[in-house]
Amino acid sequence: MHVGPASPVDSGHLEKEAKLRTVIESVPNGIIMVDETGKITLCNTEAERMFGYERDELLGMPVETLVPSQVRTKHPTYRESFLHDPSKRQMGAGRDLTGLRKDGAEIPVEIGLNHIKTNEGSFVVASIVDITERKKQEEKFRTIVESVPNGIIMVDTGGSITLSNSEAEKMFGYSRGELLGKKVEMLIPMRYQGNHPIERDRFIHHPQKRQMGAGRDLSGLKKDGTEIPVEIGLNPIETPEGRYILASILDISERKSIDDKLHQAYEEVQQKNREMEQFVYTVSHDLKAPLVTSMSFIGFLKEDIRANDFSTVSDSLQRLEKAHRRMQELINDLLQVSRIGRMELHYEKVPTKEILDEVLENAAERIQATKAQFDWATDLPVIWADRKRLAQVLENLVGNALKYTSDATDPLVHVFWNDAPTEIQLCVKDNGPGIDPQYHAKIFGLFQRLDSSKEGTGVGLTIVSRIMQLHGGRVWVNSESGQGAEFWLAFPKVPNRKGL
Amino acid sequence: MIVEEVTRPRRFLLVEDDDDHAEIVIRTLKKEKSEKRIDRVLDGVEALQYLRGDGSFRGIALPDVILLDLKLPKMDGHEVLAKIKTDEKLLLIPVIVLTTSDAEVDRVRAYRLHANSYLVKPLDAEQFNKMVQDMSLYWGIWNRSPQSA
Repeated sequence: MHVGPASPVDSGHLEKEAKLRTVIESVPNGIIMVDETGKITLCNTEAERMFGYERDELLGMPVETLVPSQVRTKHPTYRESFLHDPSKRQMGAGRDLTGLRKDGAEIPVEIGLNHIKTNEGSFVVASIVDITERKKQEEKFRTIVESVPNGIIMVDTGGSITLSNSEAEKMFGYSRGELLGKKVEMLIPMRYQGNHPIERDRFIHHPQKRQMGAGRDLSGLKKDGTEIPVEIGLNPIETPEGRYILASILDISERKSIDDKLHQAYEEVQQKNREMEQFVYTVSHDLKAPLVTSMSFIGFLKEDIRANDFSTVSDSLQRLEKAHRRMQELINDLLQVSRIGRMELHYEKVPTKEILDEVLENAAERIQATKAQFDWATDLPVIWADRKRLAQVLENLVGNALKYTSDATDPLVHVFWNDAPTEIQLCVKDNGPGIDPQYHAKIFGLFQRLDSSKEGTGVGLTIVSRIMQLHGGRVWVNSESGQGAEFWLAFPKVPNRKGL
Repeated sequence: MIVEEVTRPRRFLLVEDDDDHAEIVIRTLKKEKSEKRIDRVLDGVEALQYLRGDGSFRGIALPDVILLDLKLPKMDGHEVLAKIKTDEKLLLIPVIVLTTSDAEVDRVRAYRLHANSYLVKPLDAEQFNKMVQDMSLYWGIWNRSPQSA
């Protein structure tokens, strides 16, 4: 090895130098030795091949020739500082180094530096590895990771994120590279964070490819604080640098929302089925009752006529007529209920005062007859509703109030309202006999009546309830026996068009 | 037909909200010869008041047979049935459900609640007649209840 220009030449020395040369040539890395001024004083064949120079060209050449232009000017300073603190180390730790070939191409390299002190001065030995192949492999890996439609995150044994693809970053709302080096717990909603390091540790010590949180609903935490439903597959990866966990994350928001919608639709169908069943049951029962009456009284009439007994004929005929009228009523009411079931609402801003005026006008005769006093708030609200249906609802409630206050000494009907945060609540209050709380749910059922002495089939509150459902609203009653009744209607301020 | 001498008239309690149906049952029962007394109440709540001797029903003797409609205002027939059959003082009284409903769900529920019989009101007048008379004969005469005189 020719180390310095002035080394004495003898046969032993030559032999040593030949041996050294063999060693240097056998190293699979490129070897370059540089003196204090930055001139190349030694190189091996691998270094020549790597940079595309002949040995004669390299020897004596400033090492900066092999440094790409963008860092070339800084290189002498780096070299100086290394000479002042010459510890054996990797060059440009953490940065991507490139070397400049004679043909102008840049090659990715890794360089190890060492310092040699001889009596001819200080030298720096650089061991250079051409990592073009490795870079290509890494690039390939990167491309694969990026092309996967899932979010990919790799975490080290300490829980720090060492790799993330752009899908993962997009999913969680982070920018490129922002996740690197951060704890993976930052992607987990607060309420699950506590246990995660323990779970993570358990997985690291007993790794197996599996779904995370099997059977549970997992959520991820986005940068903006919102949560997304996710599915996560875990995979342990062994590398020379140690064990990593590769998490493949799927955002299932869409699937979840479809699932939810499907489930909701299913529930609705089930509900409709139950309603239908109830409907058929009620109808068959209630329509049959007047039929039984007429058939039986026709039988009695026949008997009486045969026996020449006319004492009860008129009574029987009256009962027959009543039964037939009732059947007609039931059929009309059924048609009405069925129409409401498939009705489309025509939303508009409706002043409830106007509707109430119409309702009262139509009921004028009955009001006259019952001598009921009406009293309503002067500031009745304007609400989003279907005008006709709202009129129908108020007609029923006012009609009921008139019907049930008819026995009171001073019948009084009061209409007022309440401005709740998300809904307008309208109340029709009467001083009638009131309704025991145990019947509050029952009275909204089809053909349910608490007092069969009052006229009607028991369809009114069913209609009210259906119309309120169509509006996405509610109806309920506040009442105690003997305390009068308050029927409350709640209309959403933002129309809920679910019923459309 | 040898009919055992009845020492006192049989007492029926008819729980029926429909005036016409009540009239049909009462008229038909009266046609059948045996001596009997029929009381009628309008709904489930009144039925229990009657059976427990509450209010205006104070001092009234328990009926021999209860004829119970199912679709009643306020408390429906099934609820009344459940109350009777869990009341130590009432549970021995035969309860005959008499209803327009032939729905399986109603029949099963009634028998589960220990109804003693389940009769569906026939549409045909003659059949209705025959059924009520048979019922009266069976439950009023032939059937020996625990408390038969």
